[in-house]
Order: sequence, then C-alpha cells, then structure tokens
Amino acid sequence: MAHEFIEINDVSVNYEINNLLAVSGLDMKIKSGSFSAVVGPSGCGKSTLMKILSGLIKPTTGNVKINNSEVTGPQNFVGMAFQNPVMMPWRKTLENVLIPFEILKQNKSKKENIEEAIKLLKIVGLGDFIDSYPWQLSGGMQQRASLCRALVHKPKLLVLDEPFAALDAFTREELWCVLRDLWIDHKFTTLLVTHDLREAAFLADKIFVMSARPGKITNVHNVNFKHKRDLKITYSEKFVKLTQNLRKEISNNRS
Amino acid sequence: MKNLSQSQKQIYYPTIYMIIFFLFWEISCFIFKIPVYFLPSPIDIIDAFREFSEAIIENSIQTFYTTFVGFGMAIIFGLMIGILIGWSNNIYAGLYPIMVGFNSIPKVAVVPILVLWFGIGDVPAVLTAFLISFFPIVVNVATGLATIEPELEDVLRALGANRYQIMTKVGIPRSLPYFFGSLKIAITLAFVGSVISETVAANSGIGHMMLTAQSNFEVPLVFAGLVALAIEGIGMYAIMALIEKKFTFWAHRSQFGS
Repeated sequence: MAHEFIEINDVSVNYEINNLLAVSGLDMKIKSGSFSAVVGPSGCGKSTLMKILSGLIKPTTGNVKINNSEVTGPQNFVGMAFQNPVMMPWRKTLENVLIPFEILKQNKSKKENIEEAIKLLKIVGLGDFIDSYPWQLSGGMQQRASLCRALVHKPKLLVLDEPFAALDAFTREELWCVLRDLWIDHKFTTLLVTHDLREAAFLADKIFVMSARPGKITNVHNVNFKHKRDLKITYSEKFVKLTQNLRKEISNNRS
Repeated sequence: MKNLSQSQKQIYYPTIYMIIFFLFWEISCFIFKIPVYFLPSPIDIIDAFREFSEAIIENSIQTFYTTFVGFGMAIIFGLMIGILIGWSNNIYAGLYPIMVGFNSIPKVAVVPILVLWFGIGDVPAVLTAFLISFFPIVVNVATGLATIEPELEDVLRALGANRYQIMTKVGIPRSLPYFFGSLKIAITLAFVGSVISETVAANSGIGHMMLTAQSNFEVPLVFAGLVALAIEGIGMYAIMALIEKKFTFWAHRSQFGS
C-alpha cells in the first residue's frame, strides 16, 4: 500500500508585503504515485500551495512534509510547469529542456542527459523541433517543451500550475492525453492546480476543492474512472455529474 | 524596390538618403550664395579632405585610439558595476543616486581637473570618453537584470539553483540585448567625450585639429573634421550593431515596421 507522500499540516501563509493571508488551516495528504488536482475559485491561494510544496516559500505556520521529511527549501526531486511556458528565448528547445541537469549536478554523462531529453521530446511530439528556438514554436508546443523540462530529471513530484489554461480546447485535450500517458508510464506523484473542472476530473484520482481566500480544503472527491481514461468518458453521465458537483461547490465557496 | 534582399536594402536606402542630403546641402549653398567661411558646401569639404588628407588621417587615428580605449574601459567597468547593481537591491539603492549625480556633471567641467591630474595629452581624452560612455552601459545592464521574469527565476529556484546560477543562466543572457543596445549609444558618446577633451586640452586629435583650423579661419577643414568624426562614429556604430545582431538575434524578431 502506498504511503502518504505529501503531508500538509495546518499550514497558513501570510504575505508580508501586503499583509495578505493567502491560505489558512490547510490540510492535505497525498499518496505516492497518485494524481491529485486542486480546484477552487480564483485567488484562493492555489499558486501559494504550489509554492510551499516546491519549497519556494515557507509556510508562516504549520509544516509540509514530503517523504516524512519537512520541506525547508527547494527540493531536487520536484518538477514544475506553469501556465506560461517560460522558455529561455536564447536557448534552443533541447537546451531549454536540459536546464534541470545543469542545476542539479547528477552523476550522469552529458550524452545520457541529452538522450533522455530527446526521448522525452519525441514522446510529446517535438522530435522534429529540438533545434528550434522556443519562439518558433506554437503555444501548445512550448507547453509540451515546458512539460519535458519539468520531467526530464525524473522528479518524484510533478507540480503543475494551470499548465494548459492558455491553450485552445483541442490542444488542451491533446495535452491531457500526453500527460495521462506520461503519468501512467512513470507514476510520478502529480499535483495539478487548475481552473478547468473537466481537466481535473479527467486526469486526477483525487480532487481537492479549495475555499475562497484564505484558502483551505473544503471537500475531497475520489475519482473512480479506471485508467487509462479515454476522452470519451468526459461525455459520460457520471463525469458530467462530477463536474457539475464541483462547479456547485466552488460557486458556494465563492459567496 | 521589392526584389532587393534585406542586406541590399541596408545599403541601398542609406545611400539614397545620404545622396539626397548632400545634394540638398550643395544646392542650398549654391542658390543662397552662402559664403565658404560661414557654411562650406560638400564640395568645399571634399577639397579640404584632399588638401589636408595627411593631417585628417593622423588626427582621426589619434581620436579613434583615445575613444576606443575609453570605450573599452567603459565596457569593463560598466558591466562590472551594472551586474553589481543588478545583483542586490541594497547596492542598487546605495549606488544609483551617486551614479546619477556623476552623470549629471557636464564632462567639459571635468576635463580641466583631469588635465590638472594627468597633464595635457591622451589620458584626459581617454578618461573623458570613459566617463561619458560608462553610465548608459551601467543603467542598461542593471535594467536588464532587474526585469527578469520572476517565473523564469522560479523555474531555476525550484530546482535549488543559487543566486550565482540564476545570474549566469538567466540574468546575464537576459540582459545581453540591453547591454549591446547600450554599446551603440556608448560608442557615439565616447567620441563626444574624446573630442571635448581634445578641444580643451590636447596637442592632437580631431578636436584639436578643428580648434586650430577654426583659429586659422579654415572653415572647410573644421567641417572636414566633423565629417571625419561622423564617419568614424557610423563605422563603430555599425560594428556594434553587427555584434548585437550576432549575439542577441533572439531578441530581435519583431516584424514591426517591415
């Protein structure tokens, strides 16, 4: 049985700059190898949650444990991708994907790293674009590259902050499937922060619903569709009902 | 002229515009009968170039030499202080007002002090060129570092990157377009600095030559000096622009104006 990989215990975060209480009384438990999604009204502190998990900011009170050790700073086993692909325009796509290796000194040869990166780029369908600059790629392609950069160092935890929000509906669904396949093959623990309820229901095993600011978890849904899921399930009655429930909860949380 | 390549256009249009400019000048001098001692026509200036070619070349090389040394110093110190300022908010807050103060001082006023310290000659010219061209480099490098996208920083920080790594992987490449952009401004300013110093205190250089020509009422030679300076300026500017294009092509992809 999988143990609790992430434990967030009664965490609150207060931003000193504008004295803003972003999250308060936040409790979450996430199992190793699971796929969780966090949904909630806008400005509910989802991005704050993501930053405390990756060690970019420290909780004001409470603590975060990953693998039974408290998070005190950035972790080398975390991969992150954002809504904005944030590629470096002076580097080719492959060089962008290789960045994690340059920061994390690993005992692998450069050649192995490059092979790993190319393999990943091929999986997401960018095999022909490794020598292109990111600004020569479309938004969806850049986001694929960003996903590769987040995964290339084989992180145990993948944290995604609305990675597909800026894409058109077709590209978004295509990338859902790319992420689904990568997750099924590698089983990295994934936390997806999203506004898109269909996205959460399609990809995740567990959906956490957050309240308006200061954010805390108000409900947890277990999603029982079996893997690997087909896009068709998004039209099934059970799926639609789940997303409708989520929508209702979030709109209740807003008021 | 749609069938010209991009590089042909870069020669074609400037040439046309320059010919129009000089034609306009020549014709105006002829029609309004402007005396040579007031505004020499381009042909008078060409004559002066022929007559004084040796002096012009010699002094041009001298001015180029002092400008280039001063400009080189400005690059080295400008980069260093720019990175220092961009590195830390405290250093930025502390140094910036001092720098603005220094830059507000008219460099002409500094030349006599430099002469007092170093005597008449190359050193004041080099230092004036340095002082005048150093500020834009500092400001631009610091601006480039200050405007890094926080997300880009987060990507690296989440992997455990330290400040040094963020600086070398993101900060410096990101501010290169600003740096190279500032070089174009700095090189032309450096010429101004050298010539200012030469007109006040030097025994050679274009500035000194122009001052001597002026006191001898050789007005075409004064203008020939200006043209020689302009040519050197354009040449160095073009070289800086080429370097900029080579290193920061990724920042120049807008289609605006085409």
